[in-house]
Amino acid sequence: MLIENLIKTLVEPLVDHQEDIVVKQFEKDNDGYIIYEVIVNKEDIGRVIGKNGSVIQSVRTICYAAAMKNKMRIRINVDHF
Amino acid sequence: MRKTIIEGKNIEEIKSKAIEIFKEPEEKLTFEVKNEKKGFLGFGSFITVEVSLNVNASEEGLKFLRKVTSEMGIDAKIEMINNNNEVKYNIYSDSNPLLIGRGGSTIDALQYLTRIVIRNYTDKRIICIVDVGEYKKKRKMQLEILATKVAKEVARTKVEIKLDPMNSYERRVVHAKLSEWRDVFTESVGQEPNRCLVIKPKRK
Repeated sequence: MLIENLIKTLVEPLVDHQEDIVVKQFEKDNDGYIIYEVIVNKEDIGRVIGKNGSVIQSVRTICYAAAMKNKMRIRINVDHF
Repeated sequence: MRKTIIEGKNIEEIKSKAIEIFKEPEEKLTFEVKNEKKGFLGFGSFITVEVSLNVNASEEGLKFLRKVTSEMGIDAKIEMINNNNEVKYNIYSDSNPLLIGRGGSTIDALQYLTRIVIRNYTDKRIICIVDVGEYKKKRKMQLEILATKVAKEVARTKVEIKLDPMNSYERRVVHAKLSEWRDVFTESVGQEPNRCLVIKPKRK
């Protein structure tokens, strides 16, 4: 629950359509990673990923740090509608 | 910058439209009339207004950092230092290593996102620096010591030495430190993220 809010906080200022952000948590995969799927509006996908994925990589780095605090291992994927 | 051009019949209509678009109270918005067409007896009048959001960009950056650290579950104190076009956020918390990350990676990520937030709110070029527990200050001192040590070695042996991969800010510190030296010069080689700095002897 915590990480979902964090991802939302990080992604919110980047996009134009804030009401379209959906963060969904999935079950652990075989390697023990919890997967978070971030879905944003089609127009905003470029802003969220950034040049060479720089923005989403920053979001990931911060979330990994927060997850490490809770002894979790996570992955973050981005997609649009 | 958060600004748009709205067209409408009269100023009241534009104001209500603007509040709907920006989702901010009227006090935070500034209205500038660009074009006005007078109609006859109130019919057909038409105005074009540029509406911009009037907030302090560095305050928004501070709010963003506060929100992020609290969502991470970290109790942090953030200090903001504002110079004319430079803003610096010093974060002090009980779990600094978490906020710094490996080789300062989390600091860099925080700084990058804060920059984007600030850029959203202003047209001006504002330099934004995020520091956690004076990590960058200490790192700069370490780098300067390392640079001097290696440069002395290069000057003595006349053999170039390659340093470990560093990010742009850290390379800049070393370049700046060694720019005045008589016997050596510095160069960066390779591609990000493995770009590294080479200290070379000057040939006579």
